[in-house]
Amino acid sequence: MSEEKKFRKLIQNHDVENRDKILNELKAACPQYFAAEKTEKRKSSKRKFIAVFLPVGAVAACLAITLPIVLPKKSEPQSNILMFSINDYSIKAYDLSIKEYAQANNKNILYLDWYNSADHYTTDCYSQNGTQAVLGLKEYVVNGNTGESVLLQFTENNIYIDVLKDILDFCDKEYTTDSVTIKWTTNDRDLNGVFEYGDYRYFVTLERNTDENRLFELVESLINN
Amino acid sequence: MNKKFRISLILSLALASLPACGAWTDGQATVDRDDAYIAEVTDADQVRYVGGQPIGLYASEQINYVSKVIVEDIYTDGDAPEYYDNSADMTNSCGAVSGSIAVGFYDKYYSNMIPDWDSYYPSGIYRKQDAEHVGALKRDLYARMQTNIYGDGVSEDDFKSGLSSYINERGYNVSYSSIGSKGSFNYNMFKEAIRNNQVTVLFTQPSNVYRIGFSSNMDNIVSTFINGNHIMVAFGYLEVKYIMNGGTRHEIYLRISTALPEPTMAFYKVGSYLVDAVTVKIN
Repeated sequence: MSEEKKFRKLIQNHDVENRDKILNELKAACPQYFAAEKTEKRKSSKRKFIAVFLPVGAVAACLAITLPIVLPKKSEPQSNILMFSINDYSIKAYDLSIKEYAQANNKNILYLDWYNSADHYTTDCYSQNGTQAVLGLKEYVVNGNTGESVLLQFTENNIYIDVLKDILDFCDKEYTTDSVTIKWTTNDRDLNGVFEYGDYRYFVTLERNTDENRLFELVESLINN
Repeated sequence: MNKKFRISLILSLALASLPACGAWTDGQATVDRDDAYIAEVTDADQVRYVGGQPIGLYASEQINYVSKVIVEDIYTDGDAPEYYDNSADMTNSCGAVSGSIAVGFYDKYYSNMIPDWDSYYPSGIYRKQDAEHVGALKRDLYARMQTNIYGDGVSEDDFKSGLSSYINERGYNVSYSSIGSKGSFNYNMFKEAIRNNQVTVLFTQPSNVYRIGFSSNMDNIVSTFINGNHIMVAFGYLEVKYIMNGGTRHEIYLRISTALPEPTMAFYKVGSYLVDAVTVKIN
């Protein structure tokens, strides 16, 4: 029991007027007890505050730490990244080459200008189901002079098509040329490279070639074309 | 300790453990996903092949090793064609596309298998598909295999009878040798077929195909899941042995032309999802 309550209990049999008078005299004579009472009240309030808000704060802190880790994928659409899986798109033959598509749409897209000497080239389109919007193009070009076979694909930087994302994950080495970083990998047959330039991400596959310097040369020639 | 505080603390710890649980679940999915899709096959001839679709963003694995030994790496001359369906109107077409890959493969050895077109360069490497000749071939086989007539896609019998019809019409005979399925896959017969420059058609339930990237003392393996019953063509075989800290690992991959637009070439591991594997022989 607090000191003030003890005092009040001692004087409870006095009438109201006397009770207040005695209490005021006690306050004047023993201010430390009443100051202590205020402190105790403050301590009591603080305990209540801790009891109520500390657990809430702990939960909030944990959520603040864990939610960004638990929900990274769900937050991606808000950062303007567009993910497309197989039910969202189709791959169909396309009438225009990458060069023709770039020129027709006045877009600054890199392409292999081997068309005039190509033994063969074929262009397919990653087309969004429903809207038929072009998500990216895929073009095989076989150089008629050298026989070199190159697959060039591109999407806008913020577009991730699942099977192309696999290529991105596949490429685990890096090389930088002309301020462009090429992620690349090779195996016993082919070279794969991925790089970003301007608004687009490019995927290059050199078939039956494992000399990475040729990949870097090819990217440089694309950029400087 | 205050009861409310204790409850809050427990709740917080549970929330904090969620990321770890998620990672664990993802890791397990790599193992479980194939099995989840496997239906009991009582009669392989009744299975319909609808042309699976590739689902990316699935899984990758890094194999770190001290040394790697290529035990065996054999494949047909020039590999195999990389055809796929990019038409606007054909559906469930993996039978027709895989049949076209087989026809394109043998066009190099049996003249005029594809009329008025060579499926290969003088170097022996196969050409990419063209819209005119390979497009016509795919449509022809699509009709001969009675695709989508008696159900979605084709059955194994539909595939064989349609392919036989086409090859016979080109003036050749064709025979099919099953080299097993699931646990009974006969690697020796498969290898012998490859050495004899023959391709093998794989009839598979939903399964993974793999790309392998080489790094110094590390192989990066990315898998793409094919979400339906699918037909592909195998043209080679890669057997790898990894010596790692604390053990060894042995992997056997078939080299395949996937009949898909991406990836067109990949590796395949024989597993419980393989319904049948049939070597195509022309004479």
